[in-house]
Amino acid sequence: MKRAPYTFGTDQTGKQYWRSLDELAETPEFKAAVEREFPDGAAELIDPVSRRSFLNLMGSSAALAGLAACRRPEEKILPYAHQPESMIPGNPDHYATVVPFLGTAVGLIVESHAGRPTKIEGNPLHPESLGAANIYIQASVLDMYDVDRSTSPQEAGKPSTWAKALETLTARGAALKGKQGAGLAILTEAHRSPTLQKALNDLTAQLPGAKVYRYEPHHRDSVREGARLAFGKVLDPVLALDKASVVVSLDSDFLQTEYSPLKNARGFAARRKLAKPGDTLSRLYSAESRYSITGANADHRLRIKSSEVGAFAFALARQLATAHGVALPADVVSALDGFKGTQFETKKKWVAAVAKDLANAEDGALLVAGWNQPASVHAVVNLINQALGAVGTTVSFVKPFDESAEGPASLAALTESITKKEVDTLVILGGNPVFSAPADVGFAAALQSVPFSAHLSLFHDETCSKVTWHLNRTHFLEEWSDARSEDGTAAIVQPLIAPLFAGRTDAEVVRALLGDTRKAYELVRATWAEGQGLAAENVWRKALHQGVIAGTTSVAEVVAVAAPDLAKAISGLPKSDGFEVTFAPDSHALDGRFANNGWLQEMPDPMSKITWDNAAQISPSTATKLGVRDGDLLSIKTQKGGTVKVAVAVQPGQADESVALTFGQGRSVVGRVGVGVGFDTYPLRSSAEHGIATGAQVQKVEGRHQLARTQEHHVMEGRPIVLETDLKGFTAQPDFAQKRAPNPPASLTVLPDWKYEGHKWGMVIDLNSCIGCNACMVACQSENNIPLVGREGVIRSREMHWIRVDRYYADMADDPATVFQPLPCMQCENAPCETVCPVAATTHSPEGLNDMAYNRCVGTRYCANNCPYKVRRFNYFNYAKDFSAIKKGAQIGTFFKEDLPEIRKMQFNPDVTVRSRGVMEKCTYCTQRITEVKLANKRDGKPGIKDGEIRTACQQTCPTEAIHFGDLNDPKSDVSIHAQQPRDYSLLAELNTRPRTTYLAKVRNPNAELETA
Amino acid sequence: MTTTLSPQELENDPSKRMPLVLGGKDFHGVTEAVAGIVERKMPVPWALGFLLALSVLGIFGASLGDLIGIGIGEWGNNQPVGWAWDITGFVFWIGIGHAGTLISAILFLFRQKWRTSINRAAEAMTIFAVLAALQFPLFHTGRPWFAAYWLLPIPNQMNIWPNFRSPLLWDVFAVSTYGTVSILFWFVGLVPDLATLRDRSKTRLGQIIYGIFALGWRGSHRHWVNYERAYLMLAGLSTPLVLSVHTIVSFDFAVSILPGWHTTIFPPYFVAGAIFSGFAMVMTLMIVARKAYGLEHLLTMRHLENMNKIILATGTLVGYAYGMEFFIAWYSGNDYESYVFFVSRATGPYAWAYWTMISCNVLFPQLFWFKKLRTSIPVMFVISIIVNIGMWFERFVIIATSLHRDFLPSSWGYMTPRLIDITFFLGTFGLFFTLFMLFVRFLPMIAIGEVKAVLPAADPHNHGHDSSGQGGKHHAHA
Amino acid sequence: MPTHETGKPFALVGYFDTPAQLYHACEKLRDAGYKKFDCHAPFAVHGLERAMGVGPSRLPWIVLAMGIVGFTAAITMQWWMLAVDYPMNISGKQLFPIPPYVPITFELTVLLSAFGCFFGMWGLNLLPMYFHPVMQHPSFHRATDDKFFVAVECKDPNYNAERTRRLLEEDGAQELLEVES
Repeated sequence: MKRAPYTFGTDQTGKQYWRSLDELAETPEFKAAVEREFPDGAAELIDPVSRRSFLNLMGSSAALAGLAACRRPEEKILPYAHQPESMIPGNPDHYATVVPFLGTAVGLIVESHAGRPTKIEGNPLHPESLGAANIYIQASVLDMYDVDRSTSPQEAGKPSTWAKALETLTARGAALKGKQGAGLAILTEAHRSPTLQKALNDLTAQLPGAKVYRYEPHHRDSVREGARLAFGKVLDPVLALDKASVVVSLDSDFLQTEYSPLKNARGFAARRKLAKPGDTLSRLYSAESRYSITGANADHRLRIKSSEVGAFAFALARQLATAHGVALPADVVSALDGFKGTQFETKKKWVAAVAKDLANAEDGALLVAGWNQPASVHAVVNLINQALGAVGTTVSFVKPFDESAEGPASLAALTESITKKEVDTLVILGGNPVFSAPADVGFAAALQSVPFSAHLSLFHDETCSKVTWHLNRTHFLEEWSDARSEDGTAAIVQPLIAPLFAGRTDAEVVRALLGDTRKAYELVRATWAEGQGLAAENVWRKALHQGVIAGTTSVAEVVAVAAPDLAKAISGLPKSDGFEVTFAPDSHALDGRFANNGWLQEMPDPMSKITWDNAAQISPSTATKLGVRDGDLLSIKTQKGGTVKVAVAVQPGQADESVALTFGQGRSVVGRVGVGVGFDTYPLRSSAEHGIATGAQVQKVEGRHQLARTQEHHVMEGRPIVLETDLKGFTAQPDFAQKRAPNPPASLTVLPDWKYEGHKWGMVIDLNSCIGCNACMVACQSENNIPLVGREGVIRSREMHWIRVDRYYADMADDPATVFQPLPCMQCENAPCETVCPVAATTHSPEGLNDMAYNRCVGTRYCANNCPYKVRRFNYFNYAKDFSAIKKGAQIGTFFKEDLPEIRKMQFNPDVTVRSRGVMEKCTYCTQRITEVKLANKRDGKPGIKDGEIRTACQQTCPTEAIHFGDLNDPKSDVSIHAQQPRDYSLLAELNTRPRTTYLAKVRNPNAELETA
Repeated sequence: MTTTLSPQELENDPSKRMPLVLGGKDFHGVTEAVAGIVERKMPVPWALGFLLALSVLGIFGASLGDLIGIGIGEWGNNQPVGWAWDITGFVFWIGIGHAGTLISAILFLFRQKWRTSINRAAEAMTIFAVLAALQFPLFHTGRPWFAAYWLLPIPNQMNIWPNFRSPLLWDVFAVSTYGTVSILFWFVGLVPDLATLRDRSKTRLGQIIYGIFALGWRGSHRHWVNYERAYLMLAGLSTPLVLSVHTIVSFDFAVSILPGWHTTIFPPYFVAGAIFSGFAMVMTLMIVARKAYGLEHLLTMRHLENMNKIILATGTLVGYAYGMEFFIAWYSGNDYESYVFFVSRATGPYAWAYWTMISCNVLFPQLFWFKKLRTSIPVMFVISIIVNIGMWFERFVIIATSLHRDFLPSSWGYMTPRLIDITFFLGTFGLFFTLFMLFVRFLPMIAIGEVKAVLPAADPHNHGHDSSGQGGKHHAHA
Repeated sequence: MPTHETGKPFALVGYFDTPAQLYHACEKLRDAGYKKFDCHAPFAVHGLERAMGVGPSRLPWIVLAMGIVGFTAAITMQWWMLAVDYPMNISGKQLFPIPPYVPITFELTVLLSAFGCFFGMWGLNLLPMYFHPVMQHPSFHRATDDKFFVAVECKDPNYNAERTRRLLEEDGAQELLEVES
């Protein structure tokens, strides 16, 4: 894919390149196609009628891709895996890029088929990814092909063109020059792009009067403020869990949504691997209100209100200072004493045990506080970490990419100056502040009073409808940009495809204000040419090729305790009274930006297993107290916020008198997928209580709302499904799992077993590593073209996920332990599904795969009935082609079907059949990947297949490397080695199905002193 | 020739057995009574009933169109309940289809002469029930247009054959064989009566149509010799067949590994259930036909009472099977097994269905212990319907409760039917009754020849002194 | 089947009122050495074949043959299709397991036997045959209702219009007529 990402029109460099044989031949069709392609052609992409022309278009791009080698490109992006010369239509290419995410940036490898990016994977070379990608990042490929994307700029709601838009911006900028830019305000997300930063700096240099604001609904302001309180300067902590043997999470979900989740997960898992008796495990304590997956993975979880976590942290600090001689500033200690007599005197046992464990951690102790916690708590945590010598080992501090606040404060400031009529030009780069602004900041109202406001975004959202100019933005897979991750590592965002709708990047829009017409590519090159040593072509190529710019990682700051104001801050810790409401990003829509993403909406919440919705999670006893059950409606009012009606989801493990809400759902201006999904909880978030709102009024109101859950029953009924023990038990009896779920004796049959010469594919899943993050599910969904069934479908329990993550509670009481179990097809050697198929549509391959011949299947569903693991999925409707299936509440099964938009089809993986109606489907160990490697090796004359050469989609993306796949016939293969471990057991072994997928039993590492706590 | 006795008189004098034909019918009388029905002008009640049946058949057509046009999702089936009303309906109808051949074949082999008045209608019922049953396995598949083809060992473009290890394929062979043989058996029985109709027919059209199907039958005794032998052997073949069909249907479940399905008691249990429901259905139809066409003298109380006795017996057998399932579940010590019975069925989300089944199938038939109830038309009519409701629930309970909670609690679910589930099943009754109405209108619903053969006068050594319908008994068939 | 040129008498046909009369008449015909005669009754009169001196049916042999065909066909089909022509590893089971093949073998055996029985019977009876000379007897339509016909063919060596008529009349045969072939 070497292509001018933007215009097929006049060439900047004056040199004219032909892009395909058609063009060389100047065929009118091609010219038509070219004109149609961008920007207006976009309209047609979603219109089935123009399918022909669309295919034309793709045809020409493919041809163009094929001819890539023939010319020197105007702007060159480089494939990761191999040189462009090897680009053959039909063979995927892989490119490195990077995506900014939750205050960091994750390096990616994107698979591209004939110029169409189809799947997003992590970049092993990138420190924030290490090869993994989370659900949001993987699913974001769907956003690029979203039929509801904004296709052109709009002036006052009427479609316009970029030419006009840029003209207007430049004119506006020129006009502002007169008054030194006074009245110009720029609102950005918490971006991490040096190029954008540079653009903004140039802007403020030329227009000193201009102001730049940042706003992010899920932000780390209190983290930075905590650092300032403790060390006197604003810093970002970088966690290194792989070095920590004792970790205490204070209301922090660092495995899913805080700090750098992927890196944290990898580090955490590294300390939970267990090969043989005698190996050690790290220990994780968690004190939290909302049952997060971090809490679910803790060895001990303290179920307390988030507003009490501070008091707990202080009690812990005092215990460490007094009982374990941990050095804390005197005034701080005395301030802590002020917390004598709080309820944590009653949790003494816990405090004592945890403090002792921290103090005696043989290597690396670490405290982590959640982003919702007040700065004082972060500060105290920082002091303890410092005192325990954790700083420098398990946690280090780096200068933030941008020190300015990114929470409510900055948005409030902007709004204030708007109301003071100081702003006449407001440019909003991304984000959706009208939807996500704090309740008490009247941003939406203020925005409408701005004479000229422009909003750059991917979709038509709440903000677009309130600005004078809407500008359509590029998706990160279409744009040239760059991003620094939490630890400072920089990487280039390179486009995988020309912008489908001729969008522009943030930097370009800022530049446009200055009349600078350079395109993103030149801007990025410029940024990295100066002083960064990427001027040289070969260095630049290397950076693109690897997806990381060497030597850009920030050096850790040396910190020393300087906490003059801390004591005051501690005493000022808000009291916890009455009902508290906590806010976390939604497990489907994140902060709202993925509300229109079908994959994410149908991805079950890791804990509650709710899809297509968000709910108010309350503990069983609180539910009894309020007299509500699942699906009842609650009316919630916060002191400084508004009132909202939300459906109840009773959540074991949730703290009493604490309501866990997620923000991001309930969008009012959104595409077809997200319309009417969930409840908008932003009205409850005030700038003062952005993370935790105390003293809320919660009561039952009339009405019910059905929640679509993928799992309806939550306990194991005492069956040997997920087997677990503690470290002691494991050392005493390493093969406890096989003892509990023994395989039937081979003597069970007199007949000879089927022989598997050659390869014998198998999988081992380490339940000790799995954190239940669902990344595997999205990976599978995008790799295998798995359709969506919509909310109705899930309610009828017809979801199609080939791999699911089962979640079991120890009980349904208030405070249960939780285990996760990823469940793909077990590929049983004695597969019960095969023998019952009347048409032999599912049979065993010579390598032991449980193959499914879709075109042979007549859909009796007998195989699904007879599958004890229930991993087979049936196309009850024409899910793959019927778009109405993914529309919320769409009653699928009407004669009025809506064909899947052509643009959506661009994402499909051409290596995998798209299944038709009435056909059974299931996991095949990514048989297409196996075949691909086999063919490649055969072609290249390589002998056999090296271990690890084939990686299933779920295995590849797993942040904790819990999934091992390979050839069981090769005793040295990774999978064989793990299958030999004593913890290895087969699920439902007694049925003698002989699963090829086996599990490594879970081993917890509880603290003896808390066993009874 | 024959004395007429009322049931009451028999009560007084048990030494006498109830004759099979009351009201002193002679040969011609029998012909008149049966053939008359066909030759009479179309009765209005029949027309109304036929229209009703037709309209229900219309509902079936509509549901079928919807199902094929949109997809199996129109039914309530889901993960984990992959089969629900579809296979329930299939087993329900197949079960009903058993009584016909059973009454004909087995009672024939056992020389139960009382069968002669009911076997014809019962056989017809069998055939129509099997046709109704076939709708389900065919159209419950995701792609019926392929299923109809690939389920049979016919060469296809994939050069792949059906999987003979699959119980579903056994079903295909069992049900189609059963249907075919039942039709042959029925037709063989019909031919002499068709000849009768041909010879009585006043209209040319009637003569031609009945004539064609009568195959030129002329009652030659040299023919009768082969005929009787053929009939005997068809009966002999049908007997193991009728037992095998529901046995094989039960294999669909017994051969799987699902707790609640995977059990060896199924074959006898299913066969008993099938006879149970089949006889109940025959009762329902017979009671109506008997009233409607005034056949009390041919379908005597003795017939009905005998059938009630069989219903009582099979009902009790089924009850025993239910109990035995629980015992084995407990005795096997298998957690999954006992969960299905003691939790899922007895107390789980589907308990309502389970207890409906128990009361309909086990409790109500017990009333037949009392002769008063056993011989009361209203009572037996109501119970015959209750029994079939209960038998539908039996199949539903077996299928749904076993599926909805199997091994892994994570995938447990619940199935609620959708509109098409109900209309499709209802529609099959339309199919059944449309055919049955046509049958009673245009074909002799009672085997004329066979009834004549059991008249005392039919005995070549009877010279008018035999007073009971058992005349000629000492002369066995050839 | 009797070839009939019209005009030539085919048989003497008459009927009785009861099976008993027919039975006796047949016994007498049999004892008088008649071979070519037949009875036509609305139902199978028990034991009449003995009275007529007709041997047992040959049908069972046909059925047996067809049964054997069905059985072997079933076994061969299943073995060839799944073990020879397209062998597949299904649930790790053997390619030619006997138990799963029993049901279909049974069904096919029964099916083909039934066909043998059905078509064999019509074959032996030479049916369908839509015309037969005896049908010309004016009252023959009652042969399927309540009368018991006897038909003595003229071809029979013992046949003598007068004697045969008298012999039958003794037993109460009515409406004795010679039908033409």
